[in-house]
Amino acid sequence: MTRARVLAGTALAALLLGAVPALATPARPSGEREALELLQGAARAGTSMTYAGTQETVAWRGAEAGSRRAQVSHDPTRGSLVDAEQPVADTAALDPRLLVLLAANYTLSVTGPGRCAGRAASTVTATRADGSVAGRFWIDQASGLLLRREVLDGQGGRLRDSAFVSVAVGRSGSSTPTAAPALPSSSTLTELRARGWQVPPTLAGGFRLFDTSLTTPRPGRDVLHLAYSDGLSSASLFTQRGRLGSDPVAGFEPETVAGRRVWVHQAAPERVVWAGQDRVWTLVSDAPEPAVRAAVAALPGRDAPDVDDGGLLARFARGLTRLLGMLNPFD
Amino acid sequence: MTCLGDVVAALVDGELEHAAREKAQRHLAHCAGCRAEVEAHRRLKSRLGGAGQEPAPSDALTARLLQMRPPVEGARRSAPARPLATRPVTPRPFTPRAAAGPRRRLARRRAAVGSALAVLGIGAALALGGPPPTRPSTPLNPGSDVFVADFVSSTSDSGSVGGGR
Repeated sequence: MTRARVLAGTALAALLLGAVPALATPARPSGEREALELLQGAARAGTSMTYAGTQETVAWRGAEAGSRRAQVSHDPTRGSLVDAEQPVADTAALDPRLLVLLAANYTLSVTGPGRCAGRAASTVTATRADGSVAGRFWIDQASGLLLRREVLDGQGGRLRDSAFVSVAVGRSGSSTPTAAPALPSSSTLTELRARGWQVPPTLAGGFRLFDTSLTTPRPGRDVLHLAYSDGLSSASLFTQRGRLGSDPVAGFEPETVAGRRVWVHQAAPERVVWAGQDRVWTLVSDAPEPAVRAAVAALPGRDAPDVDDGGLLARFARGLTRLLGMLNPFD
Repeated sequence: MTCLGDVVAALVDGELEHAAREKAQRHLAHCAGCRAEVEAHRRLKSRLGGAGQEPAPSDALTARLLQMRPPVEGARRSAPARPLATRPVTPRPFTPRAAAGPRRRLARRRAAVGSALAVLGIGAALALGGPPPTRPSTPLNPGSDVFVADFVSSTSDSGSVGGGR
C-alpha cells in the first residue's frame, strides 16, 4: 500500500463524510436519525482521530470459526496501518458509502449503552424488514470512535465480530468535507461496458455496486474489480479475460450452482470461481453462504456457443471497424 | 463551323493516325478558326480530366459545342479521304449523341475510379482485419489471496488491511 493511496483514501473519506447526511438523513424517524448520526460521527472519527490498539476479528462459516488478531494504528494524515498475517480491515474504519447502503437496507436504532475494550459505548442496531437483528455497532461515547461491529444472519447466528481488545485514543485532526459520495458515475459504467466489460449494477440479495477499479497487474492482463455491499456484508466481483484450464483451482472444491460448474473455497471471506464467455470470474464475499450462491447464480458466465471468427467476412468486418476508427476524427 | 469538323475532337483525343495527324496539323498552321476550335477542345478536355467534376462550360463554348457536327461512324478511326482545304463542310443537325461523348467518357472514368476505390477499400479492410483475435489465455490465478486483500480493502477506508499488503 503506497503512502499516496493511503492519503488519497483518507482524503476521499473526509470528502464523503459531509455529504452522507444529505442523502440519508431526511424523512427518518428521530430514533433512526440519531442512530445514523452516531454512525456518521463514528465514520468521521475513524478518519480524523489518532488511535492505536489491538483488535480481534472472528468470522464464522457454518460450524467453523476463524480468528484474526491485528495491531492497528491510525493517524489522520497517513491513514491506518494494520499489522496482521491475514488481510483484515481496521474495525474503526467506516466507509461512508456503506453507511448510505446500510441506512437504505436496514432500520437503524440506538439500543442503549454498552462497553467495549473497557470503554463506555453507545450501541446502534440494524434490523431487517422481518424484525431480525442484522448487525450491531458499539461507538465510543468519549471519542465517537467505532469500537466493535457485529453481523448476524437471519437466524440470529453470528457471521462476523470485529472488536478492539484494547485501544488508546489520541488527538483529533481536522476533516473538512466538501464533496458528494463517490459512488460510480454512469459515465464510468458506460465506459467500462463500451470496453466489453459486464458491469451488473446490483447483485442478488440487495447488494449494490459502490466502487469500481480496473487494474493491470501484468501487461495485457486487466482485472476489473466491482465492489458491492448492502451496508453490512460485501461482495467483490473480479473479472479477467481468459479461460480456466482443465485442472482444478488449487485449494478449491468443485460445486454446481444453478447448473453452472464453479470452484469454491469455503473460508471467511468465501471465494467462488467460474468461467464462461471467455471470462473468468472470482466472487469474494463475507455474506452468508446462501446469499453468495444466489449472487453467483444470477451473475453472467454461461458459455455462449463458439462463433467462427476466422472467416473472410469476420476479417473484413474487423478491418472495416479499424478503418472507420482511424478515419473517425472524434475517436 | 470549322474546316476540320470531327477531326478536331479526334486530333485532341490523339486518335488520328500519323498521316492524318500530319495533314491536320498542316491545316492548323494556316487556319485560325480551326486552331481556336482545337484549343477550345483541349481546354474542355483538360477541365473534364482535372477537376473530377463536370465543369460548367462558358456560354461561348456551349454555343460552339452545339454547332459541332455530329460524329460520323468511324470518322475518328480514319483520316479524311479528301483534301481538307478544298472540301466544303456541310453542317449537320445536332443530335444528343454528339454532345454525350464527353459525358460517356466521364461516366466511364467515374465508374472506373469508383471500382478502384471499392477494390482498395475491401483490400484495406481485409489487410487491416488481420488474423482473428487469439483466444484469451489462462488468466492470473483466479483464486488468488490478492483478491481477498482487495476485497477487504474495498470495504474499509483504513488504507491498509494487513496480510503483507
